[in-house]
Amino acid sequence: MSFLLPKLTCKREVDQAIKSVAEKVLVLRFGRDNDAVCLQLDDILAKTAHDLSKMAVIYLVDVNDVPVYTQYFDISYIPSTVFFFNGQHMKVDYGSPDHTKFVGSFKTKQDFIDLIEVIYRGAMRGKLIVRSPIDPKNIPKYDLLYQGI
Amino acid sequence: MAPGGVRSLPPRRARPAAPAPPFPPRRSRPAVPAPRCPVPPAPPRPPRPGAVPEQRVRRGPRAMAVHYCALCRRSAFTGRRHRYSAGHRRRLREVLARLQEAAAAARAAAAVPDGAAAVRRLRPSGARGPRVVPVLRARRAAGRAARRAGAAARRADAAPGRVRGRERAGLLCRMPGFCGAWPGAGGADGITVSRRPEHRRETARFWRENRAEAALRERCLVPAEEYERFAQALEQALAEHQRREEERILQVPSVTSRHRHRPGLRRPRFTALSPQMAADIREAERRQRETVQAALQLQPEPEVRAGPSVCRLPTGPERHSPCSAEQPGPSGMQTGPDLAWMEPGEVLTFIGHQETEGKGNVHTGAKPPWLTEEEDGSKQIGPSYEEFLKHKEKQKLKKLPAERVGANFDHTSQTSDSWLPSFGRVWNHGRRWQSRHQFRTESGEKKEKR
Repeated sequence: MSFLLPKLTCKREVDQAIKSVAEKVLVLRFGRDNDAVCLQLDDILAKTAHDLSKMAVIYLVDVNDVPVYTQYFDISYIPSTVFFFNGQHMKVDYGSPDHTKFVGSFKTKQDFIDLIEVIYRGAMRGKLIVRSPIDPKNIPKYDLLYQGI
Repeated sequence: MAPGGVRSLPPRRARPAAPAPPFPPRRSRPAVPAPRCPVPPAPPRPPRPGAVPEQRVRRGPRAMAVHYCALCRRSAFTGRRHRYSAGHRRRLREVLARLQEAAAAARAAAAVPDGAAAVRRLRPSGARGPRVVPVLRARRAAGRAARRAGAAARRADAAPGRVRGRERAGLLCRMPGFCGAWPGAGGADGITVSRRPEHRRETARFWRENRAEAALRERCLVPAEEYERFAQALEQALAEHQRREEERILQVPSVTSRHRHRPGLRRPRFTALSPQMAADIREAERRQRETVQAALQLQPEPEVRAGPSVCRLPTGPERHSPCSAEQPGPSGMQTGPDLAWMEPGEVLTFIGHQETEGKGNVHTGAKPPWLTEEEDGSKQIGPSYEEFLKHKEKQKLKKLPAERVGANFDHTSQTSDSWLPSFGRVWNHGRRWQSRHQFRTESGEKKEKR
C-alpha cells in the first residue's frame, strides 16, 4: 500500500520536506514498508491522503534510512508518526506519556482525519501542543522507555 | 369580593404622579376609568407560592389594580369586578360543566374493580386492543397510567381551566392559580399531587374567589378513598401483568437476560419474543461463537511467528490472554472498553533502543536535525555569490514603481501549454462599466458629467 504515498529516503529529503511544506501539516511515518502494522497504517494514510490534501502532506520514511531522525525522535517501536507545521514539530497529547509521536496504527481513518484537523487548527492558532481527539481506548498502549532522562 | 384575594397596594401619596409604570400592561390603554367603588386599601401580602401574581399598574394618584383573570386569560382593568361580569360567569359555568364530566369519568374509571381494564382503557393505544408489553415498558406504562389517572383526578377536583395540549395528555397540572406542581416531575404523579394539602387549599380558594357553588365542588371532587382503591387495583393489575411477562420471558432465558441487563438499553425495541424467534437467535449466536473460536484457534502463536525482535503490547490483562479474554458476540453487545481492537497477532515491531550518545533527542530539547548544518561541508559559510546576485536583483526591482504591470508576476512559475498572457487592462470577466469605473478610480478622474 505504501507505493501510493511518496517516500523520503535520506536525511536531506526529510529536511527539505520539513522546511518546504508550508501552511500544511506534514505527516512523517517512520517505519518499514514490509512491517504488518506499518502496512495497516499506510493503508489508512493512503486512503485519507486525498481527503486531507488541503490540510496535510504525508510522507513515508524508512527508519533505517534516516538514523539521525530515528535517534532524534527516539523511535523504538514502528510505526511512529510525527507531525510538523511550517517546520515546527507539533506535539500532541494522546493521553500517553509521549507527546512527540504517535506510536502504532490508528484504528480508523476517521481517527486520523480528526487528529490532522485538530493539529491544523491548533497550529493555525499558534499552539505547539494540541489534545488528541481520538478516543483513548483507540490509542495503542506501549512501554515508553526513557533513556536516562 | 373575596377578602382573601384582595391584594391591592395602598395608594401612595408621596409620589402622586408616577410617570412610568413598573409593569406596563401589554395592551396599554390611554386612560383608565376611575373606579366608582374604590377598593378599600388592604395591607400588602406576600404572594402565595405557585400563585400567579396579579399585575398591578399605578396610574395617576389613585391606584387601580389590573386583575389578570386566569380563567378568561385576559387582564381586566376593572379590578375584581371582572369576576361578576357575564363573560366570566359564563366561562366559569362552562368550565365547571366540563369538570363535572371529567369527574364523572374519573369516578367511573376508579370504580372499575379490575385495574387492568382501567389501565387498558386509559392507555391511548387501547383502541388497538391489548398487546404484549415487555416488563420494562410495562413499568413505564404504569407510571403513565398513574399520571393519566392523576390528571383525570386533577381535572376532577382542581382544574377549571381549559384542557389542551399537554394538559390533555395527562402531564400538566399547572392551572394558573393552583398548586403548580408537575405530576410526573420529581417523582410525584397525579395522585400524590392531588392529595397534597396545598392542592386542596388552592381548590378551595378557587371556589371562594370565583363564587362557584359549593354543591358543585362536592360533585367535582373525587374523594381520596376512591383514589386509594384505584391505586391499589392498579398495583395489583400491574403486578399480575409483570408476572405474566416474566413467565413469558423466562421461556427464552438466554437472549432476554442479556438484553434486559444491558444498562444502556432502556426500552427494548422488540415487542414480543416467540419461542421460535428466541431459538433462532440462540442458534445464530452459537454459530457466531463457534466461528470466532475456530478462527482464534487456527491462529499461530504470535511469539513464535514474529521472533525475538517483536515486543508484545503491554496493554493490560486482556492483552496477555487474547483468546480467552472476551466472549465474542454481536458487535452491539460490547459493554466494556474495547482494548483489543488491534489484532492480537499484530504487535508493534521493536527496533531497538535509540542511544542518544550525549547528543540528546526530542525529549531533551536538542537541536532538531532539520536545523543542523549538513555535515558534508559542501555548503559555504556566509553569503554566497549567487545569493548576493539574487539580493542585488531584488534591490533593483524595489526601485521600480510598485504599480507597474506585472509587478507580482512570478517569472519562475511553470505554465502549461494553454497559458496565455494577460492582455492589458481589458477585463476578461465582468461588465464593461466595471472596468471603466476601475480605470477612473485609478486615474483619479472625476465622474463624467452628463
